[in-house]
Amino acid sequence: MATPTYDLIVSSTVATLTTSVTFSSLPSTGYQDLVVVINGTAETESFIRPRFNSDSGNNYSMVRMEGNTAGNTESTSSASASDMIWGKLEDNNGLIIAQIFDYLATDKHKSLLVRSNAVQEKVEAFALRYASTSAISSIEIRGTGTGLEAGTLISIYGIAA
Amino acid sequence: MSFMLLGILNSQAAGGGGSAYDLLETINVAGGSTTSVAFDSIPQDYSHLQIRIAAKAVYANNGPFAIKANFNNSSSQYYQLKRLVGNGSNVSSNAGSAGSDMWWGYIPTLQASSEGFGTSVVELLDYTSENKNTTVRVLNGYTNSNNASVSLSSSLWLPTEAITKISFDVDSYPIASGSRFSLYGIK
Repeated sequence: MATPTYDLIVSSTVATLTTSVTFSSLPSTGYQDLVVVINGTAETESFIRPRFNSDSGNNYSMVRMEGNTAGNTESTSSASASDMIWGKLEDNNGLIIAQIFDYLATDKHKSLLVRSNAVQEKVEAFALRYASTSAISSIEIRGTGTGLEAGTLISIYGIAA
Repeated sequence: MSFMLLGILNSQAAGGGGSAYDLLETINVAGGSTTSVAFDSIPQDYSHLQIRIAAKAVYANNGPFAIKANFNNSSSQYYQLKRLVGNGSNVSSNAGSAGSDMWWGYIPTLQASSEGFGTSVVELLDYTSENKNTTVRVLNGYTNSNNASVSLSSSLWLPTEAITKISFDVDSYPIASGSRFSLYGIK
């Protein structure tokens, strides 16, 4: 039987320039995956470096690829980082969509897929892993530099499975 | 996720009413001996499908292995592929034609990581159409201590038939316990 899902859990529009927006008390039942959509700007440029559960330990690994305005492609990776990279926002509008799988699982690491469009400079795709078997109960969206500008919209959706 | 889907969700939030995105079926792999899974009876009353996969293979080596899929039990050479793959060092681009199945990205093995799963978000557009070829796009990736991969790919299925069944395997190796395949319908 079809089950309606893909529900908006929370949505927040940045009111004033900020380097951090935290979504706590994420649902502990009812969903298996989360989708985070970030649509906004930064004064100059701001790398989006989220953390889960306020965890600043070296528990995040990543592989990424990009195509950029210079006509080049590149791929890099990192392991045991203290935060994630989901791409960046610039002074024109940017769009980041992060897929978080099995965010409540306590028997597996958390896997993520991210697409980032900072169209002034590049498009990127990421695969990430959060090396923790704790359920994710909070997400902090951190922006480097001066951070996220007013008007940046962050939405989190829940998907059942 | 597509702009199309974002548009639907925005409409829904604005009071469009009805469900635009439904969970149709989830296959949870409980054992370590399953080598293939399938969605056998796909409803025909949606516009598009999305499949969300979190999986790994059972094998005593690092892998990775590929998720392979086919439609309606069609193993004839009807599938075409274009893909970009980043492995942490460089980006490669490949094309394939006349394949007997579709490549939907890499997943790791139990040997490579006891806890990391490979994931894919797959979108099948206008899957009931009998007037055009079916196109598929995939975002896939994984990262663990031995290797990593992120990919964007698109496949084309040449027959002009409605899709009623989708089958998966992992290069014919067993699919690990804890893997899952979820099917969604999008209005």
